[in-house]
Amino acid sequence: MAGLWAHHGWWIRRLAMLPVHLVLFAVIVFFLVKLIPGDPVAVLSGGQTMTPEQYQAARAALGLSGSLPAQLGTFLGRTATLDLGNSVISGTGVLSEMLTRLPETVELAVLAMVVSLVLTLVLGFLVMLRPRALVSRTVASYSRAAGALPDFCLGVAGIFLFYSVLRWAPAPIGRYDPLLNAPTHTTGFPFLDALLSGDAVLMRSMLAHLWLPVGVLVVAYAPMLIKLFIRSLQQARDAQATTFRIASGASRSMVLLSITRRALPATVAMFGTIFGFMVGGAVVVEQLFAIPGMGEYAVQAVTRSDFVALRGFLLVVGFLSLLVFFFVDVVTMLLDPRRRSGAAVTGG
Amino acid sequence: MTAVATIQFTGVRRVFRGRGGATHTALDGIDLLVDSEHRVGVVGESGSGKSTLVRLMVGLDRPSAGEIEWGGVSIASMGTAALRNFRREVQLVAQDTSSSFDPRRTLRDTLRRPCRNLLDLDTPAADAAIDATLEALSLDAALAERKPHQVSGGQRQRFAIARALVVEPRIIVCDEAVSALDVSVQGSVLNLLKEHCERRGAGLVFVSHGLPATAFLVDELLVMYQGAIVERGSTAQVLFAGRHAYTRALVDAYRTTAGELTPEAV
Repeated sequence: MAGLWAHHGWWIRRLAMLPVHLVLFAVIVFFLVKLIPGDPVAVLSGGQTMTPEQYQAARAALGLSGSLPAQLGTFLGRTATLDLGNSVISGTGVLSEMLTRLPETVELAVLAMVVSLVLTLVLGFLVMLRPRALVSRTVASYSRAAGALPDFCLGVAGIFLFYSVLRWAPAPIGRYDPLLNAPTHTTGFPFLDALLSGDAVLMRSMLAHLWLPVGVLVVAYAPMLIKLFIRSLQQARDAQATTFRIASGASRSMVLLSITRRALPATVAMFGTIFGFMVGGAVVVEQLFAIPGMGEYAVQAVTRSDFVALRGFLLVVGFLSLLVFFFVDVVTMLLDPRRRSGAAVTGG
Repeated sequence: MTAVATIQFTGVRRVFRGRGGATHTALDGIDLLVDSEHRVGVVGESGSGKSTLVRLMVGLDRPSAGEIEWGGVSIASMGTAALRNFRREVQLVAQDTSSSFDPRRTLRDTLRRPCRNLLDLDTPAADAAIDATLEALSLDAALAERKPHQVSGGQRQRFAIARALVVEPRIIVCDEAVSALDVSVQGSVLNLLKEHCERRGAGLVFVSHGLPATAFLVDELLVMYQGAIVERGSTAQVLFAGRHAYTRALVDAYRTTAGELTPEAV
């Protein structure tokens, strides 16, 4: 038993922290949404007069009756049973709405992540292996400008250049041609569903509509990843460990593999952070390209003071990010045991 | 008795290029011969080119100009087999042992690598060679089953020495190999190195900031300053009759901080 704990304790400890982080995040969300001015019941009633009894019943239904700790308790209890309430405006269940929209946004973020990952690997190795090549120097300069251009500006510039001027992209209205039928619902992820249904026309339309929003996310966020990967590769290349791999007679491919493995933990950790940025960026990009998803829902919730919907959005996105961070931490600790909590370290 | 192994530097220059075309000459006009029969110390301030000299000596870098030869053959022109032979004969011990071991592997796993790659030993034969080396270095073989972060700094440094010695090199190059250790551990590590070189007939290049440690270990001293060797000679000659201003300043600096340096002490 002790041996099992010694071998697996590090990830079990990290897993045990996950619910703690989730509860803390839920508490923060509760108080953040409380800061929004205005009376939700007034929004709900649409300005109609209510009797005091009706008013109290409406507050109770929204979980707003009782003291602040009691309201927090009600909120946490409902959240624990996955009851995120109903939208104050539309009356539809927040969770079911989220489950419909989340895959659409996550798919956009994941597509951008995949492209970013491929770019990062290719360009990272290019810069490390051919540092003096013009392409390498261009990439290094571009990655140093990481985060200088916000996704919103890039999106507007991209639409102007590629739709209005060059006509390389279709009108920024939706995920595919509005005249086409929606893909058969299999997984909820539209691109994947189109792929699974084998509808070539729909696939082509999706690719034509998605390359620009995905490109905007990649150009906005990939440089952070590329910059870190290049730096990590260079550090790993110049590290003592590499020196000794060479000194102990390892082949070139083994040395390269060792450099990559040691450059990965920092990059994987950044990967998790970038995923959070990508989901946030996808929300913005969805608005620019009129793509239905979480972004549209969140913006509507804010503009209509729909606090239940907004709270649900924050909870779902926050929980998703915490899950991604958990997996990133576990992968990082797998790659580098020194990062594991409780790893036996003897100084001296 | 095998022939004397030699590393010959002839007119070696190493220039690093920075951003915007700026250059930094780390080494210039280095003529040097080290062999498997002598122990040579290299001292000098930070930035004097000591580490660049070490990297060139063990074939981890190439000179911008000049030639470095191993047994009369240019290291830069060596093929895979010759380079492998060179790496077996010339081994490096570095200062920062915490980052030079693979954190995921046990120390024994790391020590097996040079045995497999350079000596073509299978695992049992590699383990036998490792155990013999650990015993010679007064290291408990059980420690080899631990990971690098699970032993003390002094023990890890001895494992770093064991990694170099396990392939029985002809020349051992130590770059600040004891600088990170406390004085008592430094003494025992220096003794181990000295004993090994005398017993096995291996040469030593000992690069260090620490004047007494270097003087204790070597027969000949080189003083480096701004990328050049400014003084060379027997240890006593350099310490007590140094001609270059930097050598005298270095010895004086030691005297004012650590006390008298006498020929008897050396």
